[in-house]
Amino acid sequence: MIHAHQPGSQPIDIPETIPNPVVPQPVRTPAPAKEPVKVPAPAKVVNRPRRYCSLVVDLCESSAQSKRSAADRELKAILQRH
Amino acid sequence: VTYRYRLQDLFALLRPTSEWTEEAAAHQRAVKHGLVSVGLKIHCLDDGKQFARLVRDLGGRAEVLDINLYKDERASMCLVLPPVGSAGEAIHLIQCIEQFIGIGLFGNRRIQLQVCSPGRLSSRASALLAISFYLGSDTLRRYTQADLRTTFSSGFAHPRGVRLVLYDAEGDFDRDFTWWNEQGIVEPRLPFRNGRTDLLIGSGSTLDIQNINLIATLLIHSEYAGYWRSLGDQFRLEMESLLDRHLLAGLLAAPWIRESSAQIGDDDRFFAALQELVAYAYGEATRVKQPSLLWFGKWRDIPARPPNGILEEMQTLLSKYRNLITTQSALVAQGGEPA
Repeated sequence: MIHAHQPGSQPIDIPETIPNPVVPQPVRTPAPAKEPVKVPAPAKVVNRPRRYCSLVVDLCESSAQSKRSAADRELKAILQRH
Repeated sequence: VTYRYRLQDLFALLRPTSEWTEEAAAHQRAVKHGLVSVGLKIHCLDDGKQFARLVRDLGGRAEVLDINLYKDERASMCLVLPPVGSAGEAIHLIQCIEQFIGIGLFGNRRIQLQVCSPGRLSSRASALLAISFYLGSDTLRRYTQADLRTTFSSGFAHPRGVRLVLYDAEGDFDRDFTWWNEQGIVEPRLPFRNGRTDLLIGSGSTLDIQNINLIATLLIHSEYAGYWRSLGDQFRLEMESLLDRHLLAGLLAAPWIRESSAQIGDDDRFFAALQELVAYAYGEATRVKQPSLLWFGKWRDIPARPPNGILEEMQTLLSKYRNLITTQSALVAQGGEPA
């Protein structure tokens, strides 16, 4: 861009290139949007999660049971002292 | 020698990344509608890294680039492509290179294209070539002298000056393209042993390559007695008349090409003529797109398209000659040979 200024006139900017107004400018067609690729769903593993879940539940239950029995024992001891 | 690889090597390299079939490759040297063959040079104004793989696979920098001493003075490299039979093939070749290197070459300000046509045109025909190209392009450009300076501008052996149109430096010349002579016989080789007229189009488009091929054909056939001689003569007259109507006929007297009889100050005389043409075309472009006040106080650009605008007239002229050549060559194709 050239910034041309002559005393007594408005300064003007002259671009390096301008489109020729009588030539239809090529329209750049955007690239066609890619269709989403369907990702195959992972094969269902039926047994393993259930097994793990049941294992976790068992563990939780067993720890809760052991806590409960410890509390029971402590309560019995207090009652016996009194 | 400006390159040491063959078109087949380039084709083999570009084929995996392009849609170039064996069948299409076989037609690379086929001349269409009796137009002249097309050569291309690609001047790269940045570091040219994107061309590194292409250059390496074609034989390395020494074989492909360093062997050629000619380039735009600002360019890091100039890749010379082997000539092909038609403007369509030249465009296709560039598009295949674009796909290979991953950047656009058309309309890229860092890439300067040079279109080469066989045969040396006279000074006046060179002026007509440059002016017709400029007015017919889809982009109007403003130049500085630095844009047109090459490594051969002031060389001792082949000084080419600071010009838009340049002669060859008496290097390699591929004559093996068919030529339609004045009697209507298709000759297997071009009628000149050597000699080219090149045009530095700068950041160019597909339309530029097609236009230059058309104009160069008309002018070369006019000066070297080819089949399109009468059309070429008619084009020259119409072009001179067009310039005369717009008070630009004096531009033709400028030294648009550097000849052996060049004088001191010719570069400046040419550049003054080019600047006058650019200023006139820029003025026309502004005038054609006059802003008009519409209802609701909105300003919009409305192309006025006056019938006598030089840009419009140039398009009409190019379109007319393109149609004439296409129609006439179709008749020739039906008859087997030019009549």
